[in-house]
Amino acid sequence: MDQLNISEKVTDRGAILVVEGPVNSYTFTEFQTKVYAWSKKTDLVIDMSAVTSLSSAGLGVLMAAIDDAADAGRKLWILKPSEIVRMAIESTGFADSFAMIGALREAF
Amino acid sequence: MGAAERRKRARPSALRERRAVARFQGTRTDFPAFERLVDGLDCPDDKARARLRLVGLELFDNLVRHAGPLRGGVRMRYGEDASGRMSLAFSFRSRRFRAWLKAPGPSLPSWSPAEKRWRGLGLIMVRNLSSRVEHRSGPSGDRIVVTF
Repeated sequence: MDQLNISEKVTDRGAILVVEGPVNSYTFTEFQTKVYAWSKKTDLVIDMSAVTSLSSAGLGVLMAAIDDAADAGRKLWILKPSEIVRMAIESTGFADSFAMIGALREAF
Repeated sequence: MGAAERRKRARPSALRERRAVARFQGTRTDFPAFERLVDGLDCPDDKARARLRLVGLELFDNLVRHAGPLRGGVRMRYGEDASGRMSLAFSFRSRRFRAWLKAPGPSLPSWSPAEKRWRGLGLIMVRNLSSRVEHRSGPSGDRIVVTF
């Protein structure tokens, strides 16, 4: 899958972004726009089970969104990270900063 | 028993060298083609392929960002030796990249107000997902070699 697809779902408890495809410096702008928009206004779950790669650009966006959400009193979870997403997160040494969950019910 | 030995025992037929070579223009539009290429490689396992993909993209992105414009393009070479050790090399020609390597820069992740994201994570990822990264330059150009 060459293209990044992001679909949005809004529930009464927060928003869910379903991300599919590669998050790299070629595609991350759309990822950045949508993640920042939601992380500031509601609790957010980002389903990354179908993400095929995650570059440092995408990780930088996630880390900033986690900070933004905390500043706004919101929460941000990474739902079912694919193996490559988990590997990318763990490779930074900041894995403790990411709330990774295996099921939506663990968030809201 | 080390990881390479386990791979050998698990896949006796893997006792042969593997190689792949590709040429790219040296722009961000190459990234999808690079990812497709990695997907098609006969890597030792899925984790190895994931490491190759993450590290390769970070290095390629740095090349495009700090070495471009790359008039002669970028040549990529993947290799796996008989023990299962992977290597990835990017060959190109760029004075700008050599200057960038010599310039002082932040060694830790830092917040970029202009880009509204954390920067400096890529080199940490590369360091933690590979065994060794080298840059060699000479009359024939520049070469970045990463071994896993």
